[in-house]
Amino acid sequence: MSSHDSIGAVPPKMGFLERLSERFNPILVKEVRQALRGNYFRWTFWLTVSGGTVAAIGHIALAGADRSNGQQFFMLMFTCLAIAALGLVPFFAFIAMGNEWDENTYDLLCLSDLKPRHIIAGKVYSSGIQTLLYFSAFGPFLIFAFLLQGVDLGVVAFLLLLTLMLSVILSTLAVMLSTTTTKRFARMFFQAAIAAGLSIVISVLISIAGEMIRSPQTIYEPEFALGMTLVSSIVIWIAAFAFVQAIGRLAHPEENSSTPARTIALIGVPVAVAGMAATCLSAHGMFGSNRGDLATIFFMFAGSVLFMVSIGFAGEAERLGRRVRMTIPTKRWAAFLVTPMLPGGARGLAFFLMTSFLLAGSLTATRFIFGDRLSDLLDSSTLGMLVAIAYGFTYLTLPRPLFRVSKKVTPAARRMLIVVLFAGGVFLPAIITALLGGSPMGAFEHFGNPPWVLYEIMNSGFPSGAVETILGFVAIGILISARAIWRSYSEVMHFSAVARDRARATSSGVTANVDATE
Amino acid sequence: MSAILEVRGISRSFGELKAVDEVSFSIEAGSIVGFIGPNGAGKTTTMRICATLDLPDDGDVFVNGHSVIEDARTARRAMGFMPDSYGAYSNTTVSEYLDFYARAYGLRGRQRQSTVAEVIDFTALTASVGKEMGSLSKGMRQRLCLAKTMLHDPELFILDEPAAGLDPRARVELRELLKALTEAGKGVLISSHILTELSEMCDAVVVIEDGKIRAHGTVDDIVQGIVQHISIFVRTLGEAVATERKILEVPGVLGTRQIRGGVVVDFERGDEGIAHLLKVLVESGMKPVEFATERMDLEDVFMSVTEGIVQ
Repeated sequence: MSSHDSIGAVPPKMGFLERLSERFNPILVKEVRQALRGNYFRWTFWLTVSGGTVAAIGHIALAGADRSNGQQFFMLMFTCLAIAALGLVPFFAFIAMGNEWDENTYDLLCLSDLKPRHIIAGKVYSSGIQTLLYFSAFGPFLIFAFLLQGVDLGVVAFLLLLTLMLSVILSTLAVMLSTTTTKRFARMFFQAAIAAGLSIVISVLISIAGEMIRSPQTIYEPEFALGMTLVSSIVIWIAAFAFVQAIGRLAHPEENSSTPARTIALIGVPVAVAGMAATCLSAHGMFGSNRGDLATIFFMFAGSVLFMVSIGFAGEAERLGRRVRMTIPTKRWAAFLVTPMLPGGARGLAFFLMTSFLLAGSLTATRFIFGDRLSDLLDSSTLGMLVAIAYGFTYLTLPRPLFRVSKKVTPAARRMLIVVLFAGGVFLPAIITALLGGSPMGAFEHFGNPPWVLYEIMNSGFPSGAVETILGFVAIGILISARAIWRSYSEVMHFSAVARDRARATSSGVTANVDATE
Repeated sequence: MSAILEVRGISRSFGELKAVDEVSFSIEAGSIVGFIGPNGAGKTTTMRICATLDLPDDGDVFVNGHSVIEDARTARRAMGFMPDSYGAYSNTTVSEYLDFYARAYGLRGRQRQSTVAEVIDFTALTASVGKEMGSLSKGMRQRLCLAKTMLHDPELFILDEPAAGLDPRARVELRELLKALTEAGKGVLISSHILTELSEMCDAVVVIEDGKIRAHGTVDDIVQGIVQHISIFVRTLGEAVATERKILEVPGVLGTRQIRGGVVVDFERGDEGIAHLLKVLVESGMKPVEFATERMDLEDVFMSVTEGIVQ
């Protein structure tokens, strides 16, 4: 066994499928083999297809073949397909990832050459293949529904594309959720939540499909295309973020799993800006309608998402891992620029500030571009964004003194502290006011509740005392975090200098004795 | 010979519990090192750190010169790890399992097929290639895992309790497999509770307890380190009491005790002294019929260096 080159056995000739499988992800090959050999896929596949066939035959026998029956028949088949592609496939993607922990096979898997991204991609590809198998099984029925008439081909194509995309995205989210815990009990809880969530998605999609089949002209309207593009962008962004999160959770603790997630979060900025620009164009009359309010909603949504993902970044351990230190650029300016993208809680705050100011800057730029008609709206939006940034920064920063209480405050606990403090900031004054006999609705009208403050700013300007309070919050936030942010930059610059020294020593031919781990 | 595994002062805590406390040792290519200690001593944690599956709080481990912290991927390529417990993929045959891992290790085409065939042959799994993993006996599954560990031709094997649950024949076969590996120049770190078995196959042992290394080296070296005297069993044709009295007059005797009709003599180290003791017995007409050095085996070493501390 000294080398695999010295082999006596002559391997058999490889078949076509075997040669084809060489090009695929090993996880995909394994999962497909398991699925084809196992009972689950065979049973669910044949049960779903048989159910669809019986329903189709029954329907035709009872109702005949007229125009409205084409629609009914399509909906019947589409419901079966949606249950399979959006219910069974993502649910079992969750199970398949969880099996790696339950069956105690994950350790051996991650010792191989497969990187976490291969493992996650393999699971998602496998779900995609299963979805395609369902599509191929239901394809003839759907064509038959079209032949029965009453069904628009464009709608059929759109719904199938949407179902395929949703299936892959939901499978990615399911796999990501499965990587969040190795505890069987927690995963049982997730299973129930996923089953409920998928049921809702299936119901909504079937309702949308029904509506589209009845009114097929909807999908040919420009605003529908715009809306779908925006929604697709958001959903694809969420799936991409889920994908890198899942990879990060499988990665070695010394690996840099934060930068890919931050990069995807940063990509969200141009997506949001593009969405904003598109809605502004729409509002400006390009599509003959006014949807300027969508721009604000889009930005507020982007800001909220940014705050949520920043909770994850702000909760990270402060010190750079040993492996991350070795990847820091040698050039000072490059190291300075990449600092917000590197792991670390304080660098997470820097990331939040950088990204949210990019968003706010884009909003202000939009105001200049689309000028007069949207100026009032965007004036308040810009202010709203700045206030939202202030609140976001405050709530991300305030729990930081608690992080230092004990080494036991893990990243997960830090994130939980931020969430608890945010919830406390919104709900506690309201609860106290309600207990003291205040009005239930009025109880939420306080400066700890950003949605209320933002609503007021958008509609009637700053409430009395809001500016002072918000500036006070920001001042406290700066006091708490300025030193940590400074240190986080210093750490990166230090290791950049170490990398420079090492590079110099190497280029001058001197044996480097620079310790990057100091 | 060069160190294929070098553990440098690693520590690992789980909350208040210090599972591994500044553990250091090394393994050279072509040698088998036994890793022994009571339950909860820190063996599995140390092995998982060596296998890049866990991270030390302090210290580092180098596999073939590659740090498991800074260069885990290369370290993994040089090492094969067999955990104490691992699962089986459902609906997967032995050949499919090995084929999957061969793909996962980047082997392609004919090379993958021939490598799988070779490890199947080496681990004598030929009769089981078509069987599903779930139907394999414990011994066959251990072989399968070892076969999987060999696929990428690592320089170092880290085997956590590979003999647990195996019947005597399977144990002997496993021992033969490991011998074959070391003859091919591989290094092996193996943990086991079956000390007699380890003593037969290991070139050295590392004894760990309470997260700390208690002893490290060959069994003889450890004995020399922990025992400052040697014990000699003497039985003569005469009375044991008289024999004992005579022995106590010999210089270098540290103590005696009567056992099995003879006398166990605790004696200062040194062959000259032992020869002199024998000479005295013969010259004094004691007529010795048994005169044997009592050697400590691995179990004695283990009992001597550990204190029965369980974390």
